[in-house]
Amino acid sequence: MTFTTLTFGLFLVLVFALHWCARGRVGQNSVILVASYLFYGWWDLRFCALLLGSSLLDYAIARAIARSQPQPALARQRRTLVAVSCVANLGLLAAFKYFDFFIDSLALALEQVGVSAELPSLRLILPVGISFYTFQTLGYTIDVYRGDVRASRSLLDYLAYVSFFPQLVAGPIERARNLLPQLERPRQFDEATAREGARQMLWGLTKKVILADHLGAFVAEIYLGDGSVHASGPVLLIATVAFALQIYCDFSAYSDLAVGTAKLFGIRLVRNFAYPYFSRSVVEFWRRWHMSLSTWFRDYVYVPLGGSQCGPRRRWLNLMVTFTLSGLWHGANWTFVVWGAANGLLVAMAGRAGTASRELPSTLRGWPGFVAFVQMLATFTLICLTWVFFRAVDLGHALRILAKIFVELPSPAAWAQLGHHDEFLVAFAPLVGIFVLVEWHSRAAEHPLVSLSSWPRPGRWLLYSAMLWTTLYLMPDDPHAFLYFQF
Amino acid sequence: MRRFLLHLFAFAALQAVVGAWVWSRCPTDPDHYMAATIDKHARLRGASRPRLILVGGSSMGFGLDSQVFLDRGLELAPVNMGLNDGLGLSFMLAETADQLGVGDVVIVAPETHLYWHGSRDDTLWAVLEHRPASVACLSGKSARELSDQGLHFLSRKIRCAAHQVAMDSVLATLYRRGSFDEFGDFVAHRDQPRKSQAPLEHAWPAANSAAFDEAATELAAFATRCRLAGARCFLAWSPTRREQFERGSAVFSVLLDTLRSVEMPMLESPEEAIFADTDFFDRGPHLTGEAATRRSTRLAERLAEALATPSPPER
Repeated sequence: MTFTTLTFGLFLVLVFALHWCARGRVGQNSVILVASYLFYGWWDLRFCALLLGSSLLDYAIARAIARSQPQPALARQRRTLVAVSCVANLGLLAAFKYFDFFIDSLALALEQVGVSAELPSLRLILPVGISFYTFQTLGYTIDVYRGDVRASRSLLDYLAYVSFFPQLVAGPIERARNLLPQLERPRQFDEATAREGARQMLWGLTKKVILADHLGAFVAEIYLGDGSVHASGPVLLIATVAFALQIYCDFSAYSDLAVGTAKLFGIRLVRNFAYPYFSRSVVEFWRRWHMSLSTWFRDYVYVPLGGSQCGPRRRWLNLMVTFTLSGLWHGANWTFVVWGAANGLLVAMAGRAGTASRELPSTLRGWPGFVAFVQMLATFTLICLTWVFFRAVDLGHALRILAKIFVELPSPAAWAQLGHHDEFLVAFAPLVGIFVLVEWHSRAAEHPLVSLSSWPRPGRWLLYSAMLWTTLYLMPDDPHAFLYFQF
Repeated sequence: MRRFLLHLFAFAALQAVVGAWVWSRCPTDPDHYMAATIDKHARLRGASRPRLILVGGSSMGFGLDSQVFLDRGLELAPVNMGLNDGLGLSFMLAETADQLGVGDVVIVAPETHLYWHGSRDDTLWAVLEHRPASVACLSGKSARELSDQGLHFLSRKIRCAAHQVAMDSVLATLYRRGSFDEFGDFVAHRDQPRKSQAPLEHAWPAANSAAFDEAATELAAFATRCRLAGARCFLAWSPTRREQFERGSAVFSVLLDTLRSVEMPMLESPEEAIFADTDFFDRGPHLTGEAATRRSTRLAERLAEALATPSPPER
């Protein structure tokens, strides 16, 4: 079930009513659990078995770890249990997402050295959201092992935590320490939170349909699916910038819809985006982009590897490993691996240059100064260059695009090709401009509509109605799924 | 909670008023392309038995000449149900499944992408708007698709209303209910010059039989319905451009293997459904009148041969 459908609207009304009519924690969590499996099964009922299996395994492992926790003699057993969880969850990911990729890559490598091999492949359908919920359950088991959270006694609470439908298929990846305690007590309806959630949902819907979907259609027209490159360098550059905005609007819209929906049920999910394109360094960007995944990799990969508490070479290595794995998490393609490694390299270099900081930098006040503006522009440019790898069909495609951008950028004739897309540019450049200004203006808040709470009601309702009807008017005939569903 | 709900209902009521105004600006057009479903269903019920029922999307509507089947002396009354591929295979099959009778012959030729793709756009809503009785043709799957398409139908209504408010004129188009003939064939394009448009592209899936299992199961169930009703059902292929066929050849190969397991004899191979670019009227899989006659002649021959052999005994 996708957030941008009538089905989800009807589903939400029903689940909202049932949830708040239900008595106590057990009633509310039962509604959430059934609704979440229905939400997930809407794609394919078979996926539910996988979700349930993965959840039950980690529940049992966490309980076993918790039972052996007070006994130091059982430390080895606990290590074995957490290893089983890692193998099972990562094995699940490997089977569904990476097996065929590595087999195909191996076959290709053998072919290039003149060996033709018939290697077995699985050709499985990738279950939606598998990368998200396996990381969530795995993180839970590791947290229990580390003693950071206590193992949930209630299977119902735990299953509701793993499957909580707003964030099930594309995050934010919730940590047990944030979400589980909220599910372990009955929720009381809070009008302000619910209103806030509804506003955040509207903002997410608008961003997804008006910007992400239309920018995506333009990008698809330029970044051809067959890997060929016909557009001129400047057109490819504009398409790359459009993709940078598309992926931000798409994914942050999903997060807004997820966080907003959760608020309707009195649950607060973690923030996933904090205006990343206003970052003044790549390090800052990664503290503001897909924050739930970045912190997951930080806590479960980077820190265990030694993090920054070791020599500079080892720190470089740790960063590269973490970012490369993060790239691979996004998809079974070498383009994602290179994208991750490129970002790792940029972050490592920024760290060496001394621009890295441990905390999220404070938000700039007023308009940016010249230096801050140049820093933001440079960061955005670097990030855009890495997006080329993310969006391209394969590495060759990415390199051809980059080459064309750099070679043809000084050519006036190449710039003239932008004229073929003037309809799109005239329509969307002002919209993007307005969007950037709105985001800049509201960058201290979680989302731009927060500041509307002080407006008089008629003004607010007029704006909400205008946003709603404009979104519906511009809804494309061929709806685009959220980009992160494929990961 | 009470205050929140009160405000929510008030806001929803406000939107409903706007929605009602939008609807009033774009009333149901009786000559809309999708309104042809009314005539097709009327013919399906009213045609003399036995019938030749043609099932598919618009490629069936545009790409067959029912008169050719009549001229071939098959003694079957043609009913061309082909309307729009956006309806999806489930819905198309359900439209005829309950109407099958002894001696009826059915040719199913869905657009190739329907083997891995369900209903699209707001097509189901558009059909139901013109013929609410078609709600009976919704399977569980198509009911889900209908629900998913709701906002897109509303979106189209808003765009239509905006057009009416701005232009106050009916959009001149060939694609209308009145362009179909008495058999349900789309005929208005037959004397028109072909349009030189870039072909409509559908993304090819991985050449993996799992992607086609659902469609194969639906077809198998339809084949069983046919047998039980005393009808005979056949498969054919939607017209394909050569270049598209070559790009999707791996998919066609797996698809062919998958469909062989369905108890519906094939009247032609996928290669036989390849047509030159000049045989297509527009960007869709819509044959020109001349190509439609050629295709119909070949299929009528194959059908006559197939009908000459007795149907396999019931297991």
